[in-house]
Amino acid sequence: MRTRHSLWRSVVVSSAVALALAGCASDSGGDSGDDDPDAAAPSTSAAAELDGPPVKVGFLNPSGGPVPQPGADTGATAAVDYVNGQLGGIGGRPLELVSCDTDTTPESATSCANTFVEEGVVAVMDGFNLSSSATLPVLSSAKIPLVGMIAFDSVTGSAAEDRVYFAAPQASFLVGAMQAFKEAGKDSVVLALVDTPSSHQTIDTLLPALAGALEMDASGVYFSPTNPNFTALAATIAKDDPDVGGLMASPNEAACTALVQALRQQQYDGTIFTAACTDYIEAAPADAAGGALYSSTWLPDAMDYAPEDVKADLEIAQQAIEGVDGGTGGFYAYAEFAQIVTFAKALDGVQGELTGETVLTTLKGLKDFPSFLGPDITCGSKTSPNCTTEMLLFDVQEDGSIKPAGDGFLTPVPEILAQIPGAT
Amino acid sequence: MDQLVLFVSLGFTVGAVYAVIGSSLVAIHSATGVLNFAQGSVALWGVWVAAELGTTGTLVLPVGELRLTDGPAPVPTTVALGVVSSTVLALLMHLLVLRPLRAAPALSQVAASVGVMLLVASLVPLRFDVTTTVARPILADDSVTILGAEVAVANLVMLGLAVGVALLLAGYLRFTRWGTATRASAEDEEAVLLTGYSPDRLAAVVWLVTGAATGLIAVVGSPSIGLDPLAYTFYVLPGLAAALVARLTSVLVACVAGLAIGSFQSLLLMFSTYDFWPVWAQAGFGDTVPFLVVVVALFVNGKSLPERGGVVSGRMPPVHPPTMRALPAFLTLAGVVAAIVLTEGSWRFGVVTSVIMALIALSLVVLTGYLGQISLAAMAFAGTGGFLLSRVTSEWGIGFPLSLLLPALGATALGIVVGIPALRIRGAHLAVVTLAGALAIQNFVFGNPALTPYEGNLIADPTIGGLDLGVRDGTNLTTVRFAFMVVVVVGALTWLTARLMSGRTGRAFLAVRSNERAAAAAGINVAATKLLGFGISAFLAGIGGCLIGYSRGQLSVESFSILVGLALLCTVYVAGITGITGALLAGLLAPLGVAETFLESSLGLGEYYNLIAAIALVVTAVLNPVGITGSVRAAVAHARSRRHHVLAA
Repeated sequence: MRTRHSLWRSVVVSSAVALALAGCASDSGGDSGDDDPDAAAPSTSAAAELDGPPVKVGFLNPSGGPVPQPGADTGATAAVDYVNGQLGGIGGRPLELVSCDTDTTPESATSCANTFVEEGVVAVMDGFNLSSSATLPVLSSAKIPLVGMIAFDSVTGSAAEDRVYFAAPQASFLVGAMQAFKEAGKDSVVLALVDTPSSHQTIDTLLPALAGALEMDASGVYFSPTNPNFTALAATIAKDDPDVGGLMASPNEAACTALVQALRQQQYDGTIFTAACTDYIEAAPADAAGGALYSSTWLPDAMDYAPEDVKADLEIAQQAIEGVDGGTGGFYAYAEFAQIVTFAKALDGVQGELTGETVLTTLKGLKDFPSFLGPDITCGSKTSPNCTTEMLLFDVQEDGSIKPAGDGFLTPVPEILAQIPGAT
Repeated sequence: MDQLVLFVSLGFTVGAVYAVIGSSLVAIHSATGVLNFAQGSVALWGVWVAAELGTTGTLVLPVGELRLTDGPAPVPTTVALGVVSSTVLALLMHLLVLRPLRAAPALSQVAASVGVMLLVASLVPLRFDVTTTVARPILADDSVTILGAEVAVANLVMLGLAVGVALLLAGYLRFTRWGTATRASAEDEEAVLLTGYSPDRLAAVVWLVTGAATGLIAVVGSPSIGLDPLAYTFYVLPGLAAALVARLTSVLVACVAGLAIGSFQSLLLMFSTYDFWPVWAQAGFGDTVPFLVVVVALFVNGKSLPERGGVVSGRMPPVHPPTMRALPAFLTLAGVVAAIVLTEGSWRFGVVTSVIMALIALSLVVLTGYLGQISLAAMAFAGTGGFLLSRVTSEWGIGFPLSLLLPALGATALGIVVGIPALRIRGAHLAVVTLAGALAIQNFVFGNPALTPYEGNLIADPTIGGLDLGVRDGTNLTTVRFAFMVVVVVGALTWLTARLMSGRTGRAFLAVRSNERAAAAAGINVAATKLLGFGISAFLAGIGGCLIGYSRGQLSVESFSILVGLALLCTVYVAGITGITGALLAGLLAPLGVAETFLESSLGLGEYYNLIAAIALVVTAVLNPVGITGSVRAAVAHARSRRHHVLAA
């Protein structure tokens, strides 16, 4: 009898739990379901003029897991509104984004890739996914190209087949930044990054080459992804008082803020370099001044220093991104916006049916194409998925604005980049 | 010298957290006999509650939230509510999860505490805004000069807190009547009960105190350590190492060991910037080395760890050796084949993944269910198989089916190595050792840049006699050929395992599980049997890992992380770890399997998969320790006997 009681008890409890969960989940699912039509509403009204079947594009949305980037979702939503509402869609057809939530695991990326194939998308937008390489076997087999800005998964960035990345490879940002530091008379650099095999390989290959070519003293410090002790990390960086210290790549804005605080506590007074983070500037502009950050894309904080045509584009992006209800700004929003708008503009004149293959051929055929908020790009490299190696390095000013080093986009020395597979 | 002092002191903050977790583990083990894998999660929840209050003034509860202030809440409020949250979590864990399991086998307790750990870990990203929340400074920003080094006062405060907590706990256990009774209950619960103390109430006091202490140290330390939705969960590993150094008896030794591990890791970080330090020995090294030292220490002192005498000694879940009947086997096979033929796209991918995961689950059924050795390393063995497969196919050009066999043999060898400590270490302690093995494999094998090509771990499609067995063909996500190859491999290995388990080997396994001394007396070579179990288990997992590799086309470390391994053990436990049917069911429930495909594509609940799995685990562990298949079997038996009674009447 006792067994049966406990059995029934367990069944009842599990069902109650399942129901409660389903209740919560369907609530939130309902919310997001409501959000989508709302968000899509302007595009639908503007899209009334658009005709033909929609151009379906997948989106690896980095919305879950330990390091979500909600800005990417905001940027993508804003971009779809802008493309359908202002740009007239892609060749007169509405752009439809098939969004799939990922959580940095390869499993979620594979599952999304399967969904995209079943949905019949013609391309997949890589939203700065750390495991995007897990989608490649699935997408390559179905002849669907992977399109992004910067390949955060270095395996994806290491070869050119079936993928196009509009911005520079990861290595470019490091090399370009080092060059700019060297020019500014800063000779020693210590940068930290998360300890993964790919980051090790990039840094262990690049740093000696950089140090040799630029005659700089550059070193990397690795920190455990599951045990980031920022105080100890800051002390390690500040140990020999380098001219530049900071993060080579940041998992999120909070990590930047924590490290900047810790470095300041260590009385470190060199240039603090913060990958692509911007939030910490707003939090404490005085502390942030004198710091440096890099970007693939012009950012609104640099509005005063941007060329006139870029200013107009920045205003468009800013308006669209700020128009997204409950959206998140920052680098990821602007970069994702730029990515989708560049994609739409590049495909606009294509004649005939859009398939994965025609999308890939068109994108690979781009030559000196003006990318949105970015440099002119040429995407046909046989060895690299990237369409450029140019990047921006910004100096943080006293008033919290950011000013590009040099005249704008910097070009890293190709000889150093050539050491990294897929970078040139 | 000043650098050395500086870095030793920098390790105090994180070391203090390890120390308090370690001391708490020792105290909880004395009071209840449980090794609490969720102690890090107790810290995690408190830290996030405090950080959210400090950022938005909102008190986040597991369900719902309360807005307390319009802006950031004042620091004393955030600390107090963070500590209260951790304390309540610890107390709930005692009352709802581990107290009902106090007479249950070690595996149930491990599974339940791992369940709570996974539950909190999956709840944090869902409940908190993990992108923008920042832990605001709590301690003063001053520093003092010690031996020429500028040492932050905050680090010294943390050191003082940790030592204070350990002294208080040790004093409580040593000098108070309740404390003495708690220690006595570790020796003999019945006697304590007779003297008028309730072991449950004594345990509740310890849970309460350790929960509060863990919450306090983590909340106060979080501004220097940083916020991370997972990190604190894993602080239980160095905490366990510290507790084991203290042989689970001395709170003070655990505290010192925890502080030492913190300072050691900090020194490693400093050394890693020097040119003489080898590249392969960087961050992963710091996480692993303390653990490996502890494993060696454990192995050397294997028999001196305290075993607890309880009122009721734990009964193990019943095992039903495979009966080798043809009809159920045929029906299962027919069901799988029908599922493959009738589905397509991601559903068929789900079916095939489930079949593969069933094989890895089977490896746990053999090792943990039949042989009674709790292992958290199954996923690491699978990963070893997958990673070797990548080398074997893409670098050495070895073809199928030899490409399956070689990596599986590699995994087997590693399995036997990890199994050696099991010759002297048992129960929950063995779980810790296998966890250390998994950690070492993850950091030194999968995570080793020297062993991972820049282009990733690519895997060539299998072919046999010119027939392409590749998983994909154009937009066809899973070919029928690949699916049948998987079914043949998994089916054959399951049949072989069933044969083995229903024969002499299976009986030897069960004998070792029940009583090692009795088994040895009956002429069974216990050491050889254990190593055989680890070998078979790692072989099955290795083949499973290869099949996962073939189904994905390329692999990365994240697919085989410790967290995945823990989740797998739990899934198998929920499904029923003592039988082959349990393994099959676990396959259905595993990540990317049929259940997840259903949640994702039919209900759109994919992001809740981990949370649902963790809740199911805790609920099963507490209410239904025999697992789903066990309770179904019991229900069937009950229905039969009732019918029998009715007919007889």
